[in-house]
Amino acid sequence: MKDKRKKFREVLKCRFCRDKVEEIDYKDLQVLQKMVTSQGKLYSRKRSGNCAKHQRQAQQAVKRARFIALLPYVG
Amino acid sequence: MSVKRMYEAMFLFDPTAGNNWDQVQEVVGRLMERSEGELVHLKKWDERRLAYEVEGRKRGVYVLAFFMAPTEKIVDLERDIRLSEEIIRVLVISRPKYSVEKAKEVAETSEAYVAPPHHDYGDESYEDRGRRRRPAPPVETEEVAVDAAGDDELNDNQPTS
Repeated sequence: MKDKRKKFREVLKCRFCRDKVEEIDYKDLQVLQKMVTSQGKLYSRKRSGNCAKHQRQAQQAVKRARFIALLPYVG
Repeated sequence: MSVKRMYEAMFLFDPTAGNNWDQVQEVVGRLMERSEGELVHLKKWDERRLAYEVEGRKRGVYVLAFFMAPTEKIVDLERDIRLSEEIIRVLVISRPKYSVEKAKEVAETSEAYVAPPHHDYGDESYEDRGRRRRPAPPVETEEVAVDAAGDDELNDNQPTS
């Protein structure tokens, strides 16, 4: 039981932490599109599974991408 | 002489100007000259449909640039761009951690993501996608049989009033 729980926790780790991503780039649309709904709204931390640090970075990156018209503003 | 720092700029060019590479180089070169910047790398990133209309344009050419410039000149640079007719928008980000080599590497490896080809919906139209189809009405003889069975059950369960 204990082992099972441990395994589960490891899987739960934030995807950027798992890949050891240092900085989320606004140009990386493949990643950013997974961070937003089909409408272009940012997923909650609970939904995206990101840690605090990477969720902040994702937020920043999505907002930059929106400004330069790579992603839509919520509509 | 002030200190120069590394900046990343994503220029959004008007498609007519953006597809003429000489013109892009000339425009960016002029901007750099005016803001005392040194261009590290300039690259056409992509031409794509914009997520929303910017100044009435639906398409645009993205040009990625890395340059070293004094901080106080960035405001002037952005103002110049606002007055420029070829560039419709710009995003300037300071990249203090990037060395010249790193900037070049990032610029060269950064590719625009192209979405996979559109899903083939076959006979279904795009609007119909994912919509559940109503099952075909059952054959009449069957329906009668089901109804008869259902009625019995209903009568059993109904409270007598």
